[in-house]
Amino acid sequence: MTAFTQTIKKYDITLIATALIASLLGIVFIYSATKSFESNFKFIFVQSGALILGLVIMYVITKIDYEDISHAWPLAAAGSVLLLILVLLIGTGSESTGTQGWIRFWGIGIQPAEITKVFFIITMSTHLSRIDSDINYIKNIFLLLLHLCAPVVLIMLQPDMGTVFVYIFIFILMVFIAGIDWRYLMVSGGALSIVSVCAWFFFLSQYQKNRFFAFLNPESAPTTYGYHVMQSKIAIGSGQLLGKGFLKGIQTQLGILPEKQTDFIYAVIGEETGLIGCAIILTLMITLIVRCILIGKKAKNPLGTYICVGIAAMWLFHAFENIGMTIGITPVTGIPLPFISYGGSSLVTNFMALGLVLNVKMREKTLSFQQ
Amino acid sequence: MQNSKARMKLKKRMYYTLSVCMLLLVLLIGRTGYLQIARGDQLQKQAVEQQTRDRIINSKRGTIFDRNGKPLAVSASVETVTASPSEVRENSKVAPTEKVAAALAEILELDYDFVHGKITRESSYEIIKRRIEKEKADKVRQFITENKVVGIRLDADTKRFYPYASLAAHVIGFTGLDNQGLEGIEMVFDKNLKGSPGRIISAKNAAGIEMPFKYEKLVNPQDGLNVVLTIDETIQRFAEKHLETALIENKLLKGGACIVLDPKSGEVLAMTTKPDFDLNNPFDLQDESIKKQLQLLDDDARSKANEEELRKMWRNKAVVDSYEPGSTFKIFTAAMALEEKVVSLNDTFFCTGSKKVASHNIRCWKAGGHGSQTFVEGVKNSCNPVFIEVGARIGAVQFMNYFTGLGFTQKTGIELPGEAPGIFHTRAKFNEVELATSSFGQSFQITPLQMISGVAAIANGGQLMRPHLVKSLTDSNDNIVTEFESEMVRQVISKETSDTLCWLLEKVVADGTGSGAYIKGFRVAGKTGTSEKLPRGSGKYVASFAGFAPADDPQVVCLVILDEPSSGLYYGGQIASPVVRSILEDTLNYLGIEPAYTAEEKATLETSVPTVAGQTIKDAKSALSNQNLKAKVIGQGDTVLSQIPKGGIKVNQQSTITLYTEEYSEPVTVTVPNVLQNSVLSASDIILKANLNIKVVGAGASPEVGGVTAYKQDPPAGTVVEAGTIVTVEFRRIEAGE
Repeated sequence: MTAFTQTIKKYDITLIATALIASLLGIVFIYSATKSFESNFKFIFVQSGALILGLVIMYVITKIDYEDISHAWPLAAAGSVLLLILVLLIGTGSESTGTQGWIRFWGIGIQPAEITKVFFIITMSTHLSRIDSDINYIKNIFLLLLHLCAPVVLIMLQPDMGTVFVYIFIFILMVFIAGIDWRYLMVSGGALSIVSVCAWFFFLSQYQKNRFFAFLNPESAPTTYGYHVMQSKIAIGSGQLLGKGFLKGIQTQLGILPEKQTDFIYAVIGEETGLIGCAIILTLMITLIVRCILIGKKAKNPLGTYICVGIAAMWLFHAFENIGMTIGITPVTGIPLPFISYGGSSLVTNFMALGLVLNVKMREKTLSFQQ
Repeated sequence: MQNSKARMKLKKRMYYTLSVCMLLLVLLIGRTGYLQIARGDQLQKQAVEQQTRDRIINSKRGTIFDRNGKPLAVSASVETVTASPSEVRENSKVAPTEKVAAALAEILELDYDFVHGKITRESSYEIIKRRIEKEKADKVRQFITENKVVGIRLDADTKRFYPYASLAAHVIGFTGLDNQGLEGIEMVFDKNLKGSPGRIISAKNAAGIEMPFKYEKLVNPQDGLNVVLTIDETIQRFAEKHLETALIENKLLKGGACIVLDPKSGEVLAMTTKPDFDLNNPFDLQDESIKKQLQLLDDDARSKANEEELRKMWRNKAVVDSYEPGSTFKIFTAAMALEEKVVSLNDTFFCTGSKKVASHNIRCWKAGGHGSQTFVEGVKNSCNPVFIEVGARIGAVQFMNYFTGLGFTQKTGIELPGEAPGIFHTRAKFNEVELATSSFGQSFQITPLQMISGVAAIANGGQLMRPHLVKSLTDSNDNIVTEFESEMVRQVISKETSDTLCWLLEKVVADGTGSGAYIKGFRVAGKTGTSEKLPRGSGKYVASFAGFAPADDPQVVCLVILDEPSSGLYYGGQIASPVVRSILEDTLNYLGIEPAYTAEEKATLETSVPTVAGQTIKDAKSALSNQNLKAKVIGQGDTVLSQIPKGGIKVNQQSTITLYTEEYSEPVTVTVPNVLQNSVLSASDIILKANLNIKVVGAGASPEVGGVTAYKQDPPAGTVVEAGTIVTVEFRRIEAGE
């Protein structure tokens, strides 16, 4: 018991408090978003369960030194590939994303692509810390790209383009921090553009294209993809400064707002609590991300830094993409808002990530002691 | 060194990353704020628009009552079947559109293709059938529930019903498809009757389907006010019945009109135009022959002609059609002259049959003239030269002043659409000849309503009252919201002149040209009128009679106008006065006005036959003689076994009652003689001699009357009947005369 409290005491208060507040607010607004459904307590139950599970996993992770975790990178890599192949074989669909990203057993469904993000961050961090300052060697760059491609190709096969972009963003930010030369960044930027153009013409389905461009002109397709964006904007806009009040958002309660407990939970918050509520959510997100980067800066070794930056990149991309699509500045993808959107896999993943960041923070003093 | 350089680079890149983070998050909060603050109002409006469905609930249209609270126009609750085609289509797997259309077509008696077209149209709202009765609505409801039909709805609505169908059709008017008033009171009081519609604002979900229990806001409809008319349904019915009879008997080519007014208040008690139409089917032409003619036309011409015929049918002759009043107008010329004291009752005039005015020779209706006569006789005779002379004495200026004062140049302001103002000479062109013809009611036109308002002013002591049809507006609890008081326009003649005219006009009815309007016990006053339509010599006439009663305290004024009679008789004194008599007689009895008989009238009153069967002959005879009846005994018995006519029947005094005293005696039968064309006296004589009894009706009822002959008899001549049977003989003024 004392070991437990000792561990807890070492946690970064700001980070853990922000995450907990965000998770609890998430549950509150999931309640509001699902109130019009028949069995809305199922959602609260699942999310609360995932929160507890996430906290447990987080605790377990903080008990093991992240360097030891890093040593187990083959396990993470193998786990990632296995899960992503499994999902291709036995994955089932979800209405919200249109992808086959779910594995269901015993009545529980998990989204491996969420959890593998953390595995990816661990293997990438390990990889980068091993390369160390030799990052600008072509061979290493080639290997790093290969490292990225393994999960990305598997996820593309689902296909889940939103998550693919999460991986790419995490990758770019991590190699950037690892000190990659600007030239390579430029080149890869150019390459990415070319790949994107090719992907657009050869790989993406019409469904994905429609969905991508719906955000630019939602009124052009008010009943299909643009509809989500339009309704979301109406919900947020009609919330104005103070919102319509908890459980009183009409867009939300009438079910006009789509995917309201998952992808569009920000619109629920916007409608019911107005700009005030939105500002609180954004403050929570900023706190999480900035705190995470600051911890990474002070990490005892580059491995810790990479882990923190990878996780910050993940949260940043999620937050920006998710909120961006609800206010019509990014394309519509099935990417959840960290800690807040409904979804067990996502919440557990975020607490796993949080565990890693806390882990890095708990062990930063060793660095100064060594110095 | 390498290490510290790398650390510096890392630090720098960390700050870049942080800056990008902050930038992106600021972008998010900025955009959120822009949506919520800058575009908040607009998006809020958009939200409300898409979140709510607005539905109008029709308000209940007010009832139109007669003066005694009898409903003349009521709104019944019905339902309108509507469809939301998009919902019907979405649900077509559960309920195929073909099946829905077939079922609705059958229940609502519509064409299948029509219904199917409506429920599959690219629209969100279609009306399938308006205003169906509850029975059919229930069938539709049952079909909807049994077959899980979505998107077919029944909306509450109201439908106008007119319980008396055609009664006062031209006054009440009717409503159109959207319950808006199209004619008559329905149109003029549309705003008051219709109330204000309510709305149901209810939330709808993403699929546009109404969510019945959430966010529903109801703005209650405000029911319309009721309109209480001055019309008395019973008097209206009398007027319609008798005018209808006149319409048929006289074969009126252009129909007829009748107005009954309360002279003291100006309240219209009855107003009718014949032929009329069924308010419950106002768009059906009533005249079958016109309908057949229309069938021969091609589509375009037919619909145009149909519309024209409908307008004609809806035309309220009583206020819309002006006419040349003819001799009825002499009432006013007489009133002006007496008021201006340019004539006294005993002034003598001489009629040669025509009178020269300027260079025109104006003729009297009576060829050869009336000879020497007093003013009173001149009025009774309706002598044109007398009135030309009187008119000249009044003078053009005064005549014009009175004419205007009596309201003949202006609309009366009655609460009906399309009232005509009348046509009269301009002051500049009102010269000797115009004055002369105007004096006896020719060369200008006024409406029947203007005419009767003027007569009412003459009858009520000289006050021109504004004629009106609406007493009050009431709410659904019968509380009076607005009351319309009687309004005096002006005093047009003095009380004395009015009294003199009442006496004078009573003379016209008692033993003048207006004798057809005489009613025993009621002092009827009035004036006949006949005018030949332009061009003169066309043989088309307007016969009219304006009368009121009782002459000493007028309660009711009645005007009857018969337009283009075509069965031979056309003088107002012949055909219009009996109609007024019938209406006045029924109305006065209905109003409970006690008859006051003169001594002469008492002698001619009918008496009730006592039941004498079972009595001794002596007792029976004395019982009969008590009632001024004679007895004729058949057989040798001592007691009366049966009698003809039976007890209780009303017969003229001095009638003979046949008493049978033997059980097996053959009934005495007689053949009814022909009395047509006989005067009252000779007809009575013939019938009494034939052992029959006479009942005199019509013009012959006046004891002073002359110049009337039997016009109809019942039973007709040649019928074999029992002795003592009553023969009803109707007399009319056949002698030509206005």
